[in-house]
Amino acid sequence: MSPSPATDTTPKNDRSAVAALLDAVWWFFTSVRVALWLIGATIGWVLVATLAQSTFPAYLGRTIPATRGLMQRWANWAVWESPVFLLTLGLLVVSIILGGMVNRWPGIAQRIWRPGIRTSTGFFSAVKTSTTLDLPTPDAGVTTFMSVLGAHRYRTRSWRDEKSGATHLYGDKNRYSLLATFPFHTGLVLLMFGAMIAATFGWREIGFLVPDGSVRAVGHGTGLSIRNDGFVDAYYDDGRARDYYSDVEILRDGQTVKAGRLRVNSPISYGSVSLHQATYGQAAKFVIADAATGAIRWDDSIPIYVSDDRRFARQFTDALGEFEPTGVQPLEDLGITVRLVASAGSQDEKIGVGQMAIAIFDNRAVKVGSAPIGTGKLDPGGSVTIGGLTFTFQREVRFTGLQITHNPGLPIIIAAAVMIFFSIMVTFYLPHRRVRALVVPHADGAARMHVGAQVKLDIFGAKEFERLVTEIVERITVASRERDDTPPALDHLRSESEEATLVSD
Amino acid sequence: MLGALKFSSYCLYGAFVCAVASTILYVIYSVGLFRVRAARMQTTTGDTITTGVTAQYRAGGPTTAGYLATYMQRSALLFMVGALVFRTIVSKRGPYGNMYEFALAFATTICLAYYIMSRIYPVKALGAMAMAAASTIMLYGISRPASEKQVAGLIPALQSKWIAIHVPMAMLAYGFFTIGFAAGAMYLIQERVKTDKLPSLDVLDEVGYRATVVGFPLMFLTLVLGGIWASEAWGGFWTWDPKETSALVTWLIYGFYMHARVVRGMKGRGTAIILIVGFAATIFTYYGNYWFTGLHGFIGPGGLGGD
Repeated sequence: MSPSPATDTTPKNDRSAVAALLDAVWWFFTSVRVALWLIGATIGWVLVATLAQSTFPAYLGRTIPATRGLMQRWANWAVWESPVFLLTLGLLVVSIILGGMVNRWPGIAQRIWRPGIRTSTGFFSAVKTSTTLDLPTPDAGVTTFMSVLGAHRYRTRSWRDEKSGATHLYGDKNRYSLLATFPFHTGLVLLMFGAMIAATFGWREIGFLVPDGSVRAVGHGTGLSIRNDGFVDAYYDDGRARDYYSDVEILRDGQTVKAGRLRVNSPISYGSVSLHQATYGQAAKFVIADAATGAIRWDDSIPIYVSDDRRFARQFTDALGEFEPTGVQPLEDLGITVRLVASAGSQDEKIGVGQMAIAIFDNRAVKVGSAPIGTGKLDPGGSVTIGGLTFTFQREVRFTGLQITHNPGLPIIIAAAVMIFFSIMVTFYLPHRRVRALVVPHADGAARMHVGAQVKLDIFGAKEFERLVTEIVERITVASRERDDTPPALDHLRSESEEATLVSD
Repeated sequence: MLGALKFSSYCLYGAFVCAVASTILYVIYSVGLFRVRAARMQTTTGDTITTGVTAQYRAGGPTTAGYLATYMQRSALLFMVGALVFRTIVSKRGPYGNMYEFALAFATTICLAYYIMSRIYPVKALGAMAMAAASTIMLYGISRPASEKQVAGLIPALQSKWIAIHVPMAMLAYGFFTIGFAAGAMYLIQERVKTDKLPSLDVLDEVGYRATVVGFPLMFLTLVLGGIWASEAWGGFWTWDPKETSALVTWLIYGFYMHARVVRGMKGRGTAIILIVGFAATIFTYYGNYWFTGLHGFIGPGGLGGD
């Protein structure tokens, strides 16, 4: 309750400035135009981010050299994490909540629980879907309207204007479908919330490589490890992959807690962690032993793949200019990093098929471009001694590439998607239908009834309105015939109804 | 089996011929006079109910071109269904393995969407644009290399139950968005030309809206089902893969259209332009494999690529 003028000591300028500010903020977030701009801005940012990942910036940079620097920055811009994108999303979320839901609630609540019944004749002139009927008595129109609409499951209301004697009639159906906008907009917010939860509390290992027979720790505080018990692949005659799968075991504290066959589209889950088959490739099985004592210090496999470290990989191009597959394995216990380079194929003049080039780096000195402490080129079964360790290349094996995820936001996202979809279906396919009528009595006891409906956004509303009016007219006509025993109106109606359907030639 | 594959190709060629013929006939029909009877109802007093939106009424005029155009359009649809059926018999799966099969599906849904809308609205002139779009997609399919026209097995990434729902939803959405585009484009033409030989602006506006009302939830379903599939296959519901991002942009554009139309009551040129932009985004999404690498790259120009 606002203070009375006698007791109000707040300076008028301050209060109105605050009120004006709040009004402006409210207008901003409830304005449909602003919402459209925010949607448009979101579309724009998404487009910018998508094109950044394409070849378009590079193409523009080559075509217009002056823009090369700008195009490079565009290509490297992490749009999804940028303040401007997050700000746009944030404003959109607030707009959705305030404009899409809070602001609309009073109007929707009124339409559902306290619909306006009174109508003016101007309404019937304004709507495209309307008709006018001449009635023998006012009651004929009122009772027929109420009974016909009631039979079609419309809620009906009436109000009689005692001054003019006119009766205002209202019928509506599917009124609760108006509430669908709330789960729709809530779903949108939940989608973004779920994504935020996933980004904040979830994680995803994209290139989790496990050679045959090897065990790799998942990390992320899970205490889990994955053992690859064997990878199998099969191919079509044209060389494309037909099927590939891995038999894996999930270990906790060295004990198998779950085992199964992992295929693309057939993940294995343990608790909140999911394993997904992603890729596969070759690996090199190595044994590293102490050169003096022969004690085995490391016995495992190193996956070989085309390195995405371009600066490193650039050192390993074969005579044809193809990048040779490389593998990197840091060994903290031994204080070294092993880098492998495999053959690019039969055309490779530097590394023969089946051979493995090896370079050993000291971890204390390793950085891009630093020299190895020793190198070698090994055939299967071959060895080289570097830095007091003997490196034996046993053979090539396979590795399975997994994606391991923990996504706590996924159930929220799916629930939001379900809410949005059903809201869309309800809004467009169970729309709130309203029919209004105004019965105006004449001095001679007859009456005129105007009937109209707003159907411009309703797919089948016009047809339903036609059916309702047809039924109203038929009932009134039948009732008149029973009283007067003259059915000309019905014959006249029937002959016209033959042309009442849209006909395609 | 090879015979069924050949039949599928023949059906595609037949559909293309019928689609081009229907396009030409629709144009002839539009340039000529056309007759549509408005929905009318007479009451006891002779008052007229005008229900919904009606096309303009014009008495007289030749309808041969109209009849033939309709027959050709229906024939194109039947041929496309035949092409899909025969290919499905051979491949033992739906048409979603490569861009050739996508083209078959896309052309079919355009023909189907136009057929449905033409049953509701007497807008033959719209057929000219819709079938022109379908013809273009068919021609694209015909131009695909022979390797894509051979039936090949699916790579492991596509061996999922979700493909049978995700891809058809997308194709259906694209088909209806094409009709929306046709209505929007024709709206801009009619606004300029102002002829009674084309449907009225009100009719075109409403056709565009109703096509979008069908396509919009289908597109959303496509996004959601794709995300569920991605979470099953790759562990991530949404990875900002270029094709899925461009599909999202497409859906957002139509969401923009819905807000403008439903909430703001915007009609006319503005919404017609949005429908055209939305369709451009649809085509961009459809052909996105050519320009982007990403998780959808296996359906790129080479057809069934490896992993």
